[in-house]
Amino acid sequence: MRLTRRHLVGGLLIVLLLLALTSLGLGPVPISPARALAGLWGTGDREAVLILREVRLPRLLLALAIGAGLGAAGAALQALLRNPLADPGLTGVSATAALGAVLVFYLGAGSGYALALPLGGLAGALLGTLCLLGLAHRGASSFSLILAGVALGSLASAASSLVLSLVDNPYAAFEIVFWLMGSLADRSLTHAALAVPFTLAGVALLWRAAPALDTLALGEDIAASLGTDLPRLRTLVVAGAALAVGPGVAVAGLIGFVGLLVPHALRPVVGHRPSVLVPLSALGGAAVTLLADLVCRLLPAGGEPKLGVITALVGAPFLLVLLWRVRDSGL
Amino acid sequence: MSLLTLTALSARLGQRAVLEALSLSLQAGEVLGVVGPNGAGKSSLLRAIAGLLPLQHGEVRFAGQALSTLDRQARARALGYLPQNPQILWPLTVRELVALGRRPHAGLATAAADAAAIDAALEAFELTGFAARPARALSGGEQMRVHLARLHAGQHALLLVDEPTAALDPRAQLQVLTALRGLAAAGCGVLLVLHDLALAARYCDRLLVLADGHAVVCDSPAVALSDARLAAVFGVRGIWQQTAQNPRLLGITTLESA
Repeated sequence: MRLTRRHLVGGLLIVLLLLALTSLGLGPVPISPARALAGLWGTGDREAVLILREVRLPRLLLALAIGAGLGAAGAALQALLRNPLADPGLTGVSATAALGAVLVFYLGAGSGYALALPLGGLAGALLGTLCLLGLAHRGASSFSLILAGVALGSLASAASSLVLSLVDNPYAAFEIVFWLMGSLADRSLTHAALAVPFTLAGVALLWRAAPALDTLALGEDIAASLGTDLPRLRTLVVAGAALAVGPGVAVAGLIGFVGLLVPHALRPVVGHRPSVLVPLSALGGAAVTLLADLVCRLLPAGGEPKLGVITALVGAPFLLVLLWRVRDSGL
Repeated sequence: MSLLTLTALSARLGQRAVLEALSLSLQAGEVLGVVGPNGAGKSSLLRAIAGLLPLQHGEVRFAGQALSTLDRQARARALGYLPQNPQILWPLTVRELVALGRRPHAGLATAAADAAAIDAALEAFELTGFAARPARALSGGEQMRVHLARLHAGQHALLLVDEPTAALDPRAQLQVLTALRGLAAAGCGVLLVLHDLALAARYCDRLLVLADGHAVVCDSPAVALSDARLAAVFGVRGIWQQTAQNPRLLGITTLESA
């Protein structure tokens, strides 16, 4: 068991490295690995430096951070709620982030200033997080927190739909819907700088919370008797999940299924302990998202398919197969 | 000095008073049984001591020190708690479950000390051969042994155990109670909620009889379960066997039966 786990960590890291190199090297303009690395470093020719630093590096960083955030948040929420259906979207923060972006779009601020959209999304994500933290601070149980998240999410989605229905220009509405589908195309280093620090801070919080989540295997009473501070743990996980997911939505739209799928795919190999599963799900989520983004970029299509569509298209059937094969999927 | 001293403990669940002015002391090495009808406050008493039910009045002292002054981790090291019908919410191996007992020692014990405590607990409860098995696949009696091994691995001075024999077959019930006596013999204080009066009388040094949140009596089983008390509190009659040393409670019957 332990050997398998170590192999898996090593394997995931190697896969991540290979995917990262592939991601940097591949694109409409063929760039050799050596030229790509030189370009990344800033010592290569101007074309390589420009493409690597302005186009491919932000995309790589966002895919890694957003994927890690989704994977870690999914694993931690599934443990906190003792529910295998828990998904990062349950916190409602994805929806409030989307609402923030939609509002910016509607108010027309997006046309004047390219970063208005992600900033609006970020504001939505942080507001949603603050709402949940306020509830957690009042001593809400894990289940009321998530019900609150679902309510918050529904409210934000309904508000987004309302705003969309108020848009008189159908083309603009279409553009928002398209943006919400989730994509990493045409994101700059500024986009990455907006989202990645928050996302990684969220992953760090979840990583920290993971060992205490182990005790929840025996229910909240025993966990408390083992010294777990449940209100603090709830706050850590909810805040961590919201931070790990919301800012990603703000810059890249909605990317589904990674948070639900990755922990399920890893459990048969590494077991169910959150202390192991949360960090590994971060690595796994990063790998899956990066791979899905590569698929988006490589598919020979007129327009690039949306990342969120690809993760759901591949993720949902994979989850079905997994459930089919692993009867005692646990939980 | 007593291991555990409760002074005038009162607690409420919503509007209902579940514990009223309850005082008690427990020595190291002693098994104190808590008996009483449903709703008497037995589980609430354990939860109040474990810090899971806020106290309205009164104080819990552990080895002379107010429990409320201990930090969370120190309290977790001092007290081991096992509720009624403990759940295992996701698949864990037997060893992983027992290892959870070491959480209160995180950052204080070396990995080697943790492993030694886990090994000792597995061996004490004859679980060494089961270590890699999924805990949820075991029988009810075996699972209860795993939970007790978790308490053993925690090296707590005081154990709060709620109805460990519920849902176990007769032989497994005796094994579990023998195991708890073994932990007491090794120096633990054990506060044990039981429904079965005959088992309580046989395995406990003293019995606390609770009714409506009040302590009716706390004494040796023969005194605590006197005919008058059994009739008044439980509405039953005891069937006793007279032995050379102490009378022994064999079972109970209805008040009406002669």
